[in-house]
Amino acid sequence: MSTLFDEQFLRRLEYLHLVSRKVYAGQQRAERRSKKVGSGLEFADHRDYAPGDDFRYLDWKVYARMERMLIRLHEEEEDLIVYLLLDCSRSMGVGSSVTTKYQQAARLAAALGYIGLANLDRVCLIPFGDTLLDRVPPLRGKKQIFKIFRALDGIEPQGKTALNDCVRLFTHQHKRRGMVVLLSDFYDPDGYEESINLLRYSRFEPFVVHLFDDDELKPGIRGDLSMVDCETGEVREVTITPKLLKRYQAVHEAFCTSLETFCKSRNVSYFRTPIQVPYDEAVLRIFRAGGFLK
Amino acid sequence: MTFTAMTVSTWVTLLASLSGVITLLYFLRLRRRQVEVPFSPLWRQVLLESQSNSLFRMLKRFISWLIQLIFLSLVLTALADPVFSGDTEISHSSEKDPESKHTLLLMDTSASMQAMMRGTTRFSIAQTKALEAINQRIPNEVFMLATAGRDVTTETGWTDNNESLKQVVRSLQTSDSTSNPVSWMQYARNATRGLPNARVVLITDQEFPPIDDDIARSIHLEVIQIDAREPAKHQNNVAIVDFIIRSHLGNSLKYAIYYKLKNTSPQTVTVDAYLHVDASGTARNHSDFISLPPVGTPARHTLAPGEEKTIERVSVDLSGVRAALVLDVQDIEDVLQVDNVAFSVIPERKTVQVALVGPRQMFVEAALKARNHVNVVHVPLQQWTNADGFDLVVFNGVTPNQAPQGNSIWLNTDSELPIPVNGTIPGGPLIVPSSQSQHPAMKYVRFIDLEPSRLLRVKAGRDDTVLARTKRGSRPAIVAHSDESARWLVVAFDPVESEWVAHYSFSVFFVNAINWFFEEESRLSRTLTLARPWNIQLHWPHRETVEITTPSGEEFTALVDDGGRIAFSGMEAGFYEIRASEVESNSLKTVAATMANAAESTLRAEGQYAPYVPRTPPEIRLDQVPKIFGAPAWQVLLLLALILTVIEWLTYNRRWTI
Repeated sequence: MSTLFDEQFLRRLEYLHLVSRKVYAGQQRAERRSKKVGSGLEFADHRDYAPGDDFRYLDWKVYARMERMLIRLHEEEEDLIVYLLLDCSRSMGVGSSVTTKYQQAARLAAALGYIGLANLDRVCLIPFGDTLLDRVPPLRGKKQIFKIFRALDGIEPQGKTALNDCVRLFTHQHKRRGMVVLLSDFYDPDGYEESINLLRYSRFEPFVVHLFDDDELKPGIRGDLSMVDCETGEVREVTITPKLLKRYQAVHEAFCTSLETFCKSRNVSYFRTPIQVPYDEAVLRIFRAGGFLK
Repeated sequence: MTFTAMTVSTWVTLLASLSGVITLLYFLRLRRRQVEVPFSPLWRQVLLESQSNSLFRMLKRFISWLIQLIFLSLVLTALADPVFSGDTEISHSSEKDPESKHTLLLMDTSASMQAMMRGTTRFSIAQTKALEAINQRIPNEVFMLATAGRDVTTETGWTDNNESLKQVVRSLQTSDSTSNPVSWMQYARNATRGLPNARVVLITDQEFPPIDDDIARSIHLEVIQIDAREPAKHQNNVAIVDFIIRSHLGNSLKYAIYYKLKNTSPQTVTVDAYLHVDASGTARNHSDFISLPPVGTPARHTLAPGEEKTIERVSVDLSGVRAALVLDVQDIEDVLQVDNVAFSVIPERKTVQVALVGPRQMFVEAALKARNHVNVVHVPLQQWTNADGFDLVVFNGVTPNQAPQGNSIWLNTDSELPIPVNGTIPGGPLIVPSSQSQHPAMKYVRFIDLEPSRLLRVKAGRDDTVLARTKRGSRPAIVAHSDESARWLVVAFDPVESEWVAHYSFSVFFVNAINWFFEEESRLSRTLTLARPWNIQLHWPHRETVEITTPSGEEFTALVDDGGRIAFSGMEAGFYEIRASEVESNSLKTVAATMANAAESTLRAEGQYAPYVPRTPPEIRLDQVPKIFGAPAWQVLLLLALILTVIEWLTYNRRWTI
């Protein structure tokens, strides 16, 4: 058992699962309804009969009352795929605090994945940096969580962030639609807008989890420094003053707000959490925020 | 521009060294710490605004360094109290400056400075006063420090370095020697001769005869007196002011001790005098003897205020030991301990076994027996083999085949032993040369009407000493020889024929000879006083140096002169060991040194002198203060430095980024 996912972690996952079941009681296995109309049991709608339609679906009661031939439509009941897109770029590994953004993101991914598996959804983990890394194929059943643990344990944050390229590649490779939980700090010089839009246009259901480190906003540095970008290696000589730090905090806040605004304006679920918040509390907040459990 | 608070060279040195430090810190400041950030584009947005004044950003480091250097030079200049040419006529510190002032600080380190006063020694108070005087040194004044006991020792040269002066003052210690103001004044006169504005500051308890006013004036003597506020209490002292051990006149195996005690306190005191002895020959000073049990019961003496009392203890049965007489004062708190002890080396005394070889002659035997405890054994020449079992061999007109080891006297022996003899010569009146009148063998020996008819023609060697010679022709008549293995005396004439045997001097000669052979009297004379330099006869030929160990265990080397004497000045009371060589155990002489000085133990200040007055720095009249823009220069300079500090703060107030 790794230090990231120990016994205590598993016990907390079970607790989260129970909480999720209690809050959203009545939603059992395979009850996530897709919008596909098919051969399920739940009535969805009527439509006019067309030659070639199966007579078995004619609504005879309506025909008797209204003398119209209408076909009963039922919702297709199928299990949902939850794609966990986890940012593993170098910026996720930077941090002076006890935990890093990657570690927090990995715990969140594991927790959400476990809850998905427990609800008999299919869960697929896809780490990415400057390209898509080795993915964990769609899994089903609680016991499969350990495959996710192993995969997360074996990842070392490195490389640049290429969110747009990775999402584009993802949409090309995965035709089956589902929920895409995007866990990242969104520190991509090319921006995040294109990638989120791409998921929307490809009829995936994006769920944005934005992680940030409070220590990044209040770095204990002063004076003359050589500032090195951890992903690009770009060096910049700066003189840090309290005034400059305040300005930086404002810019960072504007960055976060713009991401949130972008998501909400497009009806994309957005959740922001500092890594200093314990992951289980963060998961509960995600539940309360809605969008993940339906 | 010149400075009054420091020399230009000091100012330049300070500026250079501190500038170096600032420059070093400046370069350290240039080193940037590398910090990794996760996303630099956010920082880029922030920095875009602050980069607008990039030229100033480039310059500000250099400007900061420059400002710091200017700041430093301004502060240093202000501290140096600048004077601009033409502003004033204030003189400045420099040894070459004719206006510079010289002060010779003379610290009394004589034994009386060990006296206790208000819980501490007088010398500790003197050290404090000396430090105060150094602190009061004005900028253009230079000090020289010397210690004055029996001799004067130069401790520092002329210097304006207060710290080094203070360091030396703190390291000084007193001696057990006596005051010697004549020597002090001589030294002071020589040290200050030809120097402008020179004066002598003597820090002392004034326990010495008054210095002549003319001499004091000529050297501008000023005195810092160690003031005894409760003089009666601070003079409570009982001292051994004289100490002699001599042979007992009635018994040559015993000694007599004489000592003189003095009570300087205003009350009657009871004193117990203990005699401690050390037979092992390891005790060196007072503390060593305190641990030894006293011999017999102590002698109790009562001394009235100011009384001096001489005490004689006869028939002291001691031999071959180191002895110390220690006082235990009962009724008062004795403020000076060093004069409560006196030391002496007591040589071994024994019955001397003498072999008289040759025809039996009552004159010689009687002369030998003039000293007590002499056993004379008559040995015919035919039965003579060697000197085993005898301390002294006297050959009376006969010569053995081989000279014996050890001590011997040769009376009229016509042979090659122990020195070459080449026939005889006509005799004549004999004299003792004045240079040899103090020789141990010739003490009290005077030749009056002593005219042997013939003398052996002996040839004295380089290491031999002619103790008596003919008045005409200077032919040797008595020759002495001493080396590490043997001592002998050769009498080159017949004492019977010359009728010397009928003179008192004949017996005295034999008593002297025995004393010289066994060094009894000469060793007794080695209780030395610390009031004078010492001149010690060693009788060790062919020695150029000897090693001397002081009572405190320090070792030094002394030169031996052509006459086999060493001259040195001990400064501690106790036993001094003189060694010719580490490996030759028989070449060891021990001498005892004792303070025993009535004047030093009196503890009463004498004389009136000009008190010490610190020099005052050159007065600066308000209208003479150098001004810049109508304000005093130092104020303007400090204000400028303050302004520069504010500028530096505003432009480059950053913490160190090492």
